[in-house]
Amino acid sequence: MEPVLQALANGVIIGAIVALTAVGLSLIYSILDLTNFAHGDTVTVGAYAALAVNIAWGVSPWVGVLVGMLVGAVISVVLEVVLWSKLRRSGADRVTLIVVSIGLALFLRNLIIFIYGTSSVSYQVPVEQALLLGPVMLTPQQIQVTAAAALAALAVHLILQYTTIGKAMRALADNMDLAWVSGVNVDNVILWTWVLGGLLAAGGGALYAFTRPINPNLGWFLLLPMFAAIILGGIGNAYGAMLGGLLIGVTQELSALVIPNHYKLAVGYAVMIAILFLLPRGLLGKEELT
Amino acid sequence: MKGSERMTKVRKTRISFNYLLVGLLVLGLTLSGCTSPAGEAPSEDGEDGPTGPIKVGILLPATGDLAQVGQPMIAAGQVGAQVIQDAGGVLGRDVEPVVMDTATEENTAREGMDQLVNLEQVAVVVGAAGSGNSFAALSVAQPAQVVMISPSSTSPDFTNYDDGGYFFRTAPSDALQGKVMAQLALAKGYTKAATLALNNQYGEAFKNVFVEAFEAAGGEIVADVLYDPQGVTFDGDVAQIAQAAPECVILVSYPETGSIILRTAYQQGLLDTAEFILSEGLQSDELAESVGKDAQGNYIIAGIQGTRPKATGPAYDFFVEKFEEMHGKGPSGPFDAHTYDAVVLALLAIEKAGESSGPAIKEALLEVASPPGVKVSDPDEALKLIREGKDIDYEGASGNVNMDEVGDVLSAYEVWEIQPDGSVEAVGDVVPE
Repeated sequence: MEPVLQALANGVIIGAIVALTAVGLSLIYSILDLTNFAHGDTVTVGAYAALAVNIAWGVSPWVGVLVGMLVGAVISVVLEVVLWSKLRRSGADRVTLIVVSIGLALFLRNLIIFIYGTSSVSYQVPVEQALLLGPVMLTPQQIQVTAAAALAALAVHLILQYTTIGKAMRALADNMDLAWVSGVNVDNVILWTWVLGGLLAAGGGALYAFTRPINPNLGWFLLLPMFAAIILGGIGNAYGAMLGGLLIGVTQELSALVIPNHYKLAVGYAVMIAILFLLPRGLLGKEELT
Repeated sequence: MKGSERMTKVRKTRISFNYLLVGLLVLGLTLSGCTSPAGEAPSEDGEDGPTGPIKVGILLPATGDLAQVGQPMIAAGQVGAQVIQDAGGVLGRDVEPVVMDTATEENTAREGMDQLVNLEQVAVVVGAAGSGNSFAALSVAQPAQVVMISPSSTSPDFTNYDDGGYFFRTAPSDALQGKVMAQLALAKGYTKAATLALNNQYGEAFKNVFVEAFEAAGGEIVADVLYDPQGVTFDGDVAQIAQAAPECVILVSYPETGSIILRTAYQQGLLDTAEFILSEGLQSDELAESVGKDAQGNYIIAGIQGTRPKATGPAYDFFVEKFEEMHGKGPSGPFDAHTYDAVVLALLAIEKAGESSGPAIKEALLEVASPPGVKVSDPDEALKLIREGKDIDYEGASGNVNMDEVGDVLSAYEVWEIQPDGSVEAVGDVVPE
């Protein structure tokens, strides 16, 4: 097994998951000016929903993934209707929204701890031995997870490019006022953005649960690489988020070849800082007009 | 600013919804964000007055990496307290165990000890479990002059550590178990071993003793890896071991991280090419389930062996009986009997000392644990003899618990094996040479 290619393969797997989960974060940030710290915990909720279904009813974890995605979408929409829209209407400023999202994050996380405790859990599936595919070793599950993530990314691309709602999302993320003036139903699009973000975040979490045993802090720890990914890729650009996620994942795994494991996270940020020095708007971001 | 809402934004003059919401959430954030060690509510009595109960602190991991090992230990400690309570308590007062979770983390252990000593005003503490956590807790207990008895901290570093006489343990030092492990590996015919150990006081010290003993007998260490106790994936560490092509791998670990390592080893095919021998920190009935099953439904680690101190004191059957009475099932971990003994010894020492202050307890503890004295295993009888003014030598459930002048005990060791149904059975003794 070739260490560099193996690290690359592992990096693509984790990077694909970060990429998916970061899309929602990026879109919400650019449309609503909301830095949603509870986004990571949506990832956790999706993972635990998938696990709950798998462990309680013995269904395939892939069914769990779909259930998790649904739960994520529903929670996101409910929160938008019950919390975020009301806050926006009463003129809450950026900092207020951030503080609220942090409180929400802690609430969701502790709700999960309350129900499931803090020990690690994983899907009840047979453990598979890895296959030697040329220079790398991958379990069939890892291949399936990457394939699923790639499919999801393709779906996102198709939605954003070829559906009305997708184009509206991109328009809103690009320039809110112009979109509104051109007749886009802003509230409707916001709702659908939450749906998409929730589906992807929760789905990403459920996929992540294939790769290692999870605990309630899963989403919180993924949140920082997610932020790094969207800044790296350019805020407001879904493709940037995906590209950034992949890059962060790959660099982290490759770095583990030369420096101790626990510095992996720091490497992701180092990469982000480096790119920001060279390209302040991120890889795919555009020039700010204001 | 964003959203169509801003076209109709109106600033309300009364306290608006979002301020209230933020206030509530910040309150919730503060309350839920403060992580404090889980523990029982402080006794209504408040202070430990001359008529209040004698409080025994039980500082062990209910959560975290050692949760699977710590939970039965906590249960065993409660049995010890109950048994003494049933025998009339100590110094004419009730016995009250106060459980505090270390979460298998040094900071939490330190805070937990602080709470036990200063808030709960316990007379003595049984704990912690992991050696690193015991060192952390000791840094609080020693200056506060509170005696600490660990039922499972096995690091050899405690033996010569200057603890002012306040640290004792009912578990033997790994200076012995490391040698026993080497003996076992050599007896199985292995000459090339790799070590994979937790990068903490327990793992590193154990590994060093093993390496020394194994090499002294002519064996070769082909790989020596210390892994991050906070890690969640260990693909790289396992791959490093695999590349060295060992005949056996000594895994010094705790159940949660250890189960991930064993699963990774299976995935990489290492479990098939090398025999893993586990340290006692991994001995748990739930380990097999944590690691998982293969496609045929068999536990991946069925047949895997490990070493552990042998718990065979005269009080062992009595302890098992009382444990089953109180908890509805038997003890299951490697250090349950040791925890029971630690609690019983602590309380006998208080009775012997005639008071519950640290300096008095630490003197009395050595007296009741070791010869000379009447050998006694039943706590009821032990208390009776102490009250009659006699010298006793308590022989416990884990062994004769004869402590030397630095508070260490000796022990025999045995080999355990994971059965096809996931349970743990002892399969033979190993006597340190």
